[in-house]
Amino acid sequence: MSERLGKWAFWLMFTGFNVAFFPMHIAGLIGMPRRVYTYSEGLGWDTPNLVSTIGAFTIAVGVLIVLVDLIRNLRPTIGNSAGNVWNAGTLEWLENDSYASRSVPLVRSRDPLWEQPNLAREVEDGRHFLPGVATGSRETIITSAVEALPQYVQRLPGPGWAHVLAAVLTAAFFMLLTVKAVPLAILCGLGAVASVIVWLWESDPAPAGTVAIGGGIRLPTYMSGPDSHSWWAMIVLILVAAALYLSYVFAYLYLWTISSQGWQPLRLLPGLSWPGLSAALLLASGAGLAAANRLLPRDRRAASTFGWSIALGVDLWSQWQAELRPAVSAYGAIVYTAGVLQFEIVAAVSIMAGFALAWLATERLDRGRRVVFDNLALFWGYAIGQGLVGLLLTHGFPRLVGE
Amino acid sequence: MMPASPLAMPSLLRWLAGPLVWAAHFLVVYASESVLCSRGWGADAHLTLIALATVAGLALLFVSSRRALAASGAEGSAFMQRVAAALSLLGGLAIVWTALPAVFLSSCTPPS
Repeated sequence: MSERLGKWAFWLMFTGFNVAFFPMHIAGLIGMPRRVYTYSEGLGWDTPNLVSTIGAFTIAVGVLIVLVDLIRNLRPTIGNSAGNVWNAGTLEWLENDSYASRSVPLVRSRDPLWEQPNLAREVEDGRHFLPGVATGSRETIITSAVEALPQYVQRLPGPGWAHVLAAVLTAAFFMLLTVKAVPLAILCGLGAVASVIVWLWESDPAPAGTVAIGGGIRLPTYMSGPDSHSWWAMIVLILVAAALYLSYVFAYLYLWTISSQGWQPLRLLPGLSWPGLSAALLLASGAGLAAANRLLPRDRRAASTFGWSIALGVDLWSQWQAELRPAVSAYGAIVYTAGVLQFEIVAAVSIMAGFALAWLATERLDRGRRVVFDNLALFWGYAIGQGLVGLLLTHGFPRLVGE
Repeated sequence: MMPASPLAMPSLLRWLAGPLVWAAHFLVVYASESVLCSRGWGADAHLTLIALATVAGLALLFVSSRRALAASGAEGSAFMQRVAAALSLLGGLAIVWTALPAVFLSSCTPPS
């Protein structure tokens, strides 16, 4: 790539960005609303918008230069990499084969290519971890997050199409919603869920003891619970769900602070027996989950416990729906939103539980091979907690403040 | 031979003290405005609360950054300790920034 063209592209984009976006601050301050695609002239926003347009085209010229330079220098190749042309210090500049390095390097600093000058050759000679297959299938090393200490060997899925289909159908689901093709979008969404299930069906192979990865280190081939990276992926998902739910709690309380109209819970609140029943069902589902945990070895009764718990989770939703019928006020809408958010979580838990049941039925899930169950239990626990918080908020808070 | 999970909560919480304390301060300052003003407890209560929250937040972050810098001599974790100290500093700046409008604007007055 040309350094001269690169500098031109940088300055055009940098200037264009600021010329395009700075006037928008001014236009906003003098009253222009966002996300309206056109305005009549003479409202006082003509000049800032004209300047913004000039800036936008300046960015476009910068992007065009990058694209032209890219096409000029296109080298379609897989195995023939350019190598560490900038003499950079970090691992992404290690020379690779088409998809991975010959062996997984042991690094001793944050700039390994500078601190360990022979690293590239050692890796290529297979003198680091996993120079051959330890488990007989595709695999990688899971390390600790900060110090990168090896923890266990993770076996990876082989080639397939299910994940590609899942990606395409997920994208289709969201994009079709933007053009309001709702039935087709729903079909694509269901297809995406089905593809993910097919993809995951072979994704959690049975434990295979410990294996040597080189350097005198032996690692387990299976891990579940907090030592497994998938457990932490589930934690991240829970954090996202909790952030959404806390936003909801905030909205509910905000409605109360501006309560001059529409806040009339004391008149509409169902009796305490309804939330009491819902809470009892939630707790019973938790007890069912704990029982399933103890019955987990190849035992058919565990399956029935699962099924029973799902029924209760869904039951909660119907109870919830029955209690406040007229959704005509802002208060009614905000209470129903709690139900919708809880339904999303319960639906996800139900799909996961169905997957776990199918695994149990095909003897893939037991006391040792249990990532599927542990992740389900973690999310299920969150679902129970969110449900209880929702009950406490929508039934307890109005009684607490007495309005 | 398995090392304790390095994502163990205590160290994670220490590294993230800056953003977490800032978020807590932001929530208190932002939410209390709506609650105190709409329930008629008045602007003085809100100003007092902001002052208390700001002093408490800055004190917490001062302690946590001092502790991180003191620990940055230790082998291995020096980089993360410096990152933690820098995040605490950033959190402190953000807290001051969040509290500034309370100094310049009056609480409980709807914008005209």
